[in-house]
Amino acid sequence: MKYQVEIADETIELEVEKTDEGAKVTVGDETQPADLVRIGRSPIYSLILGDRSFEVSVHRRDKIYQIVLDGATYDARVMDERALRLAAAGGADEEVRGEVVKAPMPGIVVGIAVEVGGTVEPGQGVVTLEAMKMENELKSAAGGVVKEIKVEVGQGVTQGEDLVVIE
Amino acid sequence: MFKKVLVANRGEIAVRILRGLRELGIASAAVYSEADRSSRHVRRADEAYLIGPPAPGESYLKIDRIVELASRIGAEAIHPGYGFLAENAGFARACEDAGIVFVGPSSRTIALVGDKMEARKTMVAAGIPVVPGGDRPLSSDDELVAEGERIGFPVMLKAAAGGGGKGMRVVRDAEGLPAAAKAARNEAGSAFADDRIYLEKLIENPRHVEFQIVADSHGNVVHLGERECSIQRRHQKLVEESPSPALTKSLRAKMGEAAIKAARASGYVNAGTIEFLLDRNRDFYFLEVNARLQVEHPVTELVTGLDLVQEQLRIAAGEELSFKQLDVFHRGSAIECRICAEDPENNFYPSTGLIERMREPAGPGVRVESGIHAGFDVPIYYDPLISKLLTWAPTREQAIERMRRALAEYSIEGIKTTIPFHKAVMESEAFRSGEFDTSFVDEVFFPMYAGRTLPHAEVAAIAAALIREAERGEAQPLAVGAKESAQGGWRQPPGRRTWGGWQLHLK
Repeated sequence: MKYQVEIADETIELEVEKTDEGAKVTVGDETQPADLVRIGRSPIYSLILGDRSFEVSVHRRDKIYQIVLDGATYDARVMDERALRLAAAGGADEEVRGEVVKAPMPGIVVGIAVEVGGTVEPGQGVVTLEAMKMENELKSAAGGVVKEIKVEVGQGVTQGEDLVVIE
Repeated sequence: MFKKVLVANRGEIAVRILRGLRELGIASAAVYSEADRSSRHVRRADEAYLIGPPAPGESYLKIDRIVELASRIGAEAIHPGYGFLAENAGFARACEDAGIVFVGPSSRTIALVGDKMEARKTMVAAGIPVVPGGDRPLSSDDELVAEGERIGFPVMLKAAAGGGGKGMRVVRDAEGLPAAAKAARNEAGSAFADDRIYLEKLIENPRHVEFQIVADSHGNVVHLGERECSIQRRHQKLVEESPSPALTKSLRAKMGEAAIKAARASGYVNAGTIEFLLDRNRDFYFLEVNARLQVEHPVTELVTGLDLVQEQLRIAAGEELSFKQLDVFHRGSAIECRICAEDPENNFYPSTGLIERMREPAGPGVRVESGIHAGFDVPIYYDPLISKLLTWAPTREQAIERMRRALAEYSIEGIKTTIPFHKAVMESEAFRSGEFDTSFVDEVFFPMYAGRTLPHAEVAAIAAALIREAERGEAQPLAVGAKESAQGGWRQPPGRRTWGGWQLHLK
């Protein structure tokens, strides 16, 4: 099966082929045997790739696999052939027109600098979020008209939550 | 010695203080907010009291409530830790008025060293070198420009009540001064309710070196050597170590003497820190007094073998220091990395949430000071510092290698942390050579770090795809919280017992 993995600002295409011993993985020109073993009922896996040994921990959050490897955390979005075909045909994910300013981190809304119907310049501060004693001003990448404000001051938000919709 | 002490803090420092109390056989009382009911410090204490809602202003900063609680439960002393009320003269005074011992300097000393201009004056009078500059607040633009020209540009604007970089501005010429002064005044006014500002000559790219002192109430003052704190990002320390690679034996002796003088001049009793800037010519200047136990105090504990929390408690109880300056020996090299719940791949944004699994490093020369555990939901209300990782070794190189090894063993899953960032610092040539200053992270290291490619992105991608492959045809996902099955892509390896490891064979 062919896969496309979005990880750390990269898109990696790879192919997994089952064999009697385990699996073979091809990335680019390189094909190597891969053996992945889960350790008990824990989220820890031992991965032997070629003859290199890795320990990875895996947590799944919705469509994202969170992989901890050598102390670094990677968020991997895995699409298989079928999903890719669906996406190419359109209608795989619901598309939102315009820009939606999302919370890049969990926090508390401490300021909203725009009003519904108001215009926003590209790069303009829209919402101020506070978490862990730090205030962060969130800016709109695109300009446009504010269509909807989905939060209010004092409200707690989770990471990735929609804050302001700009058209 | 005290029979019961209240710890007015949370997180790793509360755990640290509670450990000291337990070893001294002193009963302990923890306080906690509604967000900290399941925090580690609550379980490490003999007694625990809810003091209010999650917002610090309604719980950990409630002076009256905390002092009243201490009186009611018969705690003879309050240890404030760092942050929150640790350097609040009003809190120290409220303790004094209630007849409770504040584990730290007197309210008078806290007020004196908390006013940066007063502290400067005191140090000048004591003959300690300070950064050239003013010791009076400047209100008009004319005054500012005249002062700037007298000292010589570039200059640093500072707030009298300063701290945490607030109200600080670098100004390179007279034209830029009025606008910068206005911004600095506004910032200082809103942060400290005190908009007095003054000018200092800018020391370009200094190192930040601080000295730990301990002083008892019988007039004995001893310094415990320095901590190098130049690895900072936006004025926040990230890595500290002792000894500093920049100090020679004679410079250490000179600075240590100045630190003792500074402590005496401010009437300091208890453990404290004297911060200095060190310029390229190895001239040093008094920066400020930190009237508290520092975050990085374990660095000093590792090289001196002393327990600073226990020393603080003995001093607060009126005991005399059990050692003199000549009894203090420094052995080996210690490094601390501050592990924060921040995502170094995403602009260091806070990363809060549930810690799904955690494994702390161990082995020779490793010390972990943490307030977290698996299953803990890191709250958004408090400081992002969740853990401190320290290593000790006979030499600096060995301590760095030990830190790399310990960082690799440290896994905190479910939230992002600064562990990968610290690894990269430990591997950087500048850090290893010991030649760096306070501009290193912001100007050299971070741009490089942000532009690098992650070393194992491809391996992680392969792992993710293999798990996805195994999940095909499975009703339940196999990654976290998931249930394995002996059918499909998963089967029990032959010859193993049922509780053995499940093996993935992609057939």
